[in-house]
Amino acid sequence: MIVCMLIMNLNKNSRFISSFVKPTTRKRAFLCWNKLKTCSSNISVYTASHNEHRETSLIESREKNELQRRSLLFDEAKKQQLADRVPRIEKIEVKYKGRVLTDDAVMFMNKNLSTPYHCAMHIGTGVANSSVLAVVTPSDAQSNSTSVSKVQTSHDGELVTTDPAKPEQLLWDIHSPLPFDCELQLLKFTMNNTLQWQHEQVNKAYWRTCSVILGAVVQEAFKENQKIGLLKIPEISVKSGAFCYDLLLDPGMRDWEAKEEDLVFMSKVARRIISRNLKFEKLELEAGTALEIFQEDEQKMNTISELLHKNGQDSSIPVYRFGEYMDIMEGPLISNTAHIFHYIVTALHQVSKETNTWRIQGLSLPEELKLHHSVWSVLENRARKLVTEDLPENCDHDTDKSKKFNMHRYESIENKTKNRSKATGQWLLKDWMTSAEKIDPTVSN
Amino acid sequence: MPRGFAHGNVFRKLGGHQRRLKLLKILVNALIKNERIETTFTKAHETQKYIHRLIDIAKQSTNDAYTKDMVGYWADDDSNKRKLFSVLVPRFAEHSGKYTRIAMLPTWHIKDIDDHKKMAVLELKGNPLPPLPVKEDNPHTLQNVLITAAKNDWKAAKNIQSESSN
Repeated sequence: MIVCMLIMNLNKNSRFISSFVKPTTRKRAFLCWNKLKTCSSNISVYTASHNEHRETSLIESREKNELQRRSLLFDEAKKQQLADRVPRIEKIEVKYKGRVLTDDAVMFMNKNLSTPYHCAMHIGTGVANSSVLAVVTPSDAQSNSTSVSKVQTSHDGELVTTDPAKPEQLLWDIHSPLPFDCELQLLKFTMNNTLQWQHEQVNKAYWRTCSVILGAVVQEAFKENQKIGLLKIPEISVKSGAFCYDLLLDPGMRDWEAKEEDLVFMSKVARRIISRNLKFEKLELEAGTALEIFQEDEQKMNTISELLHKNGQDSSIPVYRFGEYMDIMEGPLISNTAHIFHYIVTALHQVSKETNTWRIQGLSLPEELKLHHSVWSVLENRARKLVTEDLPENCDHDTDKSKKFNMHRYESIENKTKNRSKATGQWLLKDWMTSAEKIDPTVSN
Repeated sequence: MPRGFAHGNVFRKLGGHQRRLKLLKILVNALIKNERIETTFTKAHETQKYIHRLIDIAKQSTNDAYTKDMVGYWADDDSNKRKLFSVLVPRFAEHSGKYTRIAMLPTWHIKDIDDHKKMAVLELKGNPLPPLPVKEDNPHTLQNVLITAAKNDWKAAKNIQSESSN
């Protein structure tokens, strides 16, 4: 800066400069000079905008540092847990039950190290890639249970036999390690007609993962000077048509309405997160480490304290990490974001004006269950309405705001995120628009 | 576009107008008697339409000249007529629409077949024979759950609309 000022003050003839100044410094000088010229003659204005730029870049870097710090703590906790549980490698017996008798297998895997995904890899890549959840029944439970083997009681003159306690079927993430001998079943998105419970569990887990991704989208989409609190993921069945996340937005945004451009932008942000094919890693943290990690987030501290209230002060808190984002979730999640095909953010409704709680909704489907765009737009239309399954009857929300969309002229949000091929002009199947910039001036106060 | 294939409809000639009607009459009677028959795909597809119409006529249960004519022509045998009214109509009383099911058969092992005709099995729904291994839609997968929920929503809204209008 100083050099350019000097050069400027000396003279305006470039030829005189070129003789004793290097071309790079001359270029730089010219650039600075042009900047000074274009940003009005008042130097004070330039310095003010310069300061602003510096501030926003500081906030950005602060956010990044925060996320990096969290993932570092997560890694440390993970290493420590591994070191505690695996002083030396022990073996466990895993019985895999496939679709057919011939698929059954008995494997000897490492305790606390090998995951259902590793078991699946031993069987085949097709199984490993298409399996999404695991159902684990620990085989130790039968020998350990002190209650009931078969009991014969005389009840009203008849002999009634009660069966021995069946070992529980636990739902297990595919990437979390197995700590005991067990029987393993791997679940996919489409299975036999008759397995209703399994399908329900897979659908619930998929809905939960999509909500968690919504939380990350919200963190990314809004500007840094807005305070956003992620309240909770409401327990909503798949039939309601959309997955949700309850938010607390900045108090300055009470009268804000989400436009369609904002929703399209958020879908693109979501697509950028999903296209990285992130794994979901689970860790059960102690209360102390969890509080340390989520220091600066008010809402997360509240949720942690609530969980501790419910389950007791010494219970562990399950935390999922994907990429750089983390969230507190109880249930099992899908193994990888690569399974997701459709994903859009359909609505941002204000649930109550007093407490400034908002509900962000979305809709998505996995790759195995793709839909034609005409059917998809019907589902999308339905997902635009506020999901009221969870909310009490006399709620504060405005019913007039949930506008009625005309079926025949519905413009799908997803169609705006698709790319057309340059050769034929048709929609490309797996080519989506991802937003390039981090902050969009339209999505803000 | 030849008239026979416009708008996705298929109008098959099946050997001439009179011959076609005789053939379809035989097939319809055979279906009512046996509840499951095996023919070529084209013949099965044609009889489907006639069977659906016949059962709809019988369900109306009016002693019209029209019904008498139709039933008299298509359900030729006396036993078939009795079966139509006493067995099939009560079976399909609440069933609205398609009363039959077609399943394709493999023909790669049959050497006598000319032109590689597609053979199919046509059956009435709800028949007492062991079920055909036809793959039906899985109602529990995510996309089907969402679609049925959306359908029910739409129906409920339609009912409310009709009630309010009434």
